[in-house]
Amino acid sequence: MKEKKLLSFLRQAREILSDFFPAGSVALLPLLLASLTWAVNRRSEIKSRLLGLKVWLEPETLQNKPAEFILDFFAASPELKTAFASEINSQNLKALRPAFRALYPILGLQDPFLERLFSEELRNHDYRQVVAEFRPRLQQALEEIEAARVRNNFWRTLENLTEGFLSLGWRLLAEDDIREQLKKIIDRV
Amino acid sequence: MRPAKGVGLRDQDGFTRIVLIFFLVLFLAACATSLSRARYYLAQAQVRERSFQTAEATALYKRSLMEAERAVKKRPSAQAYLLQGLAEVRLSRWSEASRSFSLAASLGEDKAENWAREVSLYGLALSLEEQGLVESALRLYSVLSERGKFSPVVQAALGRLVDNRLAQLDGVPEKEREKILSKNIEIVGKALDSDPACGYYHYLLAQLLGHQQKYQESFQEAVMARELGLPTLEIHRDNDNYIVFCYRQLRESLTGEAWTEFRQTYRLWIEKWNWPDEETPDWKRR
Repeated sequence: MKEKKLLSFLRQAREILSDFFPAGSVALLPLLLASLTWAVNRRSEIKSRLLGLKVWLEPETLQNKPAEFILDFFAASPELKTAFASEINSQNLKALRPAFRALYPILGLQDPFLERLFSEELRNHDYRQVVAEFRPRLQQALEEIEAARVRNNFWRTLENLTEGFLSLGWRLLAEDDIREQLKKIIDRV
Repeated sequence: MRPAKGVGLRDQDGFTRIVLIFFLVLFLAACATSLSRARYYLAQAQVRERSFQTAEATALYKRSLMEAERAVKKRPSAQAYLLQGLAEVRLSRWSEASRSFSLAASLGEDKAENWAREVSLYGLALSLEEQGLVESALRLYSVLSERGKFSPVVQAALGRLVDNRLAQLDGVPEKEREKILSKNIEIVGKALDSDPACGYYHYLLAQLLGHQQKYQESFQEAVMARELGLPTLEIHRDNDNYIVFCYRQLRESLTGEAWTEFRQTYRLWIEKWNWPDEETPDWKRR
């Protein structure tokens, strides 16, 4: 797939979707990226996926992981190990648990929507900022989607975009490859 | 002319009757088609669910629900309400499901009466939990997970029960902690006795055993959970992360032959799952 073709598709998609979102929206690009990534493996149900976003991002089981699992999550990643060195060394779970709740869905479960929502911070390895911003920004993004989804043709438009994306031949690639390609290019949109 | 008129009237009557019968047949066929489509989509959704295609499964449950609703509108029947209720349960629409099962029961579907009761109790427990009445909710979850007969409700109630009990572990003295964990392991164990092929129960058990730092057993349960299938993609990924976590913990604690043996077993599994290495599940970005 030519980079130029993808870039042009993404620019067009952004323009179409921008009708549904306010200027400076935090949700638009994460929504676009996530929809295209999901579309590759799970074509038809972008809608249920997005409506379920709020539910699965904070399932109870994630809040109740053993201390060792949380410590291992931070210690196993060199970047997290550096960013949270003092908390890891002192095994300060009071500080690590809330950080884990924000970072695990992004880095542990690799949710494409959240990855894009915090792409700037992730690129700069500013994990503390992700933790600080997690709830308010997610809330803002969900409110934007909520406002967009009640408008006429929103889902149809999104589905048409993913169909258009798949018709460019992306379904032949694995989700990993697509995610990488999209990540590389979406900042230029 | 008269006989001709008489014949004409009879012809007209006959024609009307034929048209009526034709529409009746069409109507019945449409009902049957909606019902069979609802059944077909429900079965397809279950197949998708078992292979982690959660979103497709949800879409198919919705289609099944639509067809069942159509069948109910055309010709309410116990079976149509039952199918509607089943799809609603899978879409977590508990109060609607309870109503559908009650209607199915009122039309003669015996098993639906108990299902309606269990679904409505689960819905009530969720509301209580939302309102902060956690202990009352837990009592209901406990009753449903131990005595329930309708497996989607039993599974959901057990998950909520274990989650809530685990949330109480923080800051609890060691002895009390062990007691809570053992009690939960016992409850999940009982559920597994009645449904050993439920991947989600194995997942819950793996999590609980992890809390007790029994990593070899926890690993085995997580492997079984993976092999048997899990209800959502996120739980599937979380379970994979747990497998890697157990591997790392055992790498630190096992020595000599025990480690060699475990490592060999581990390698066989990850080879089967196409993981690029011991600490990278197939879905993780390389």
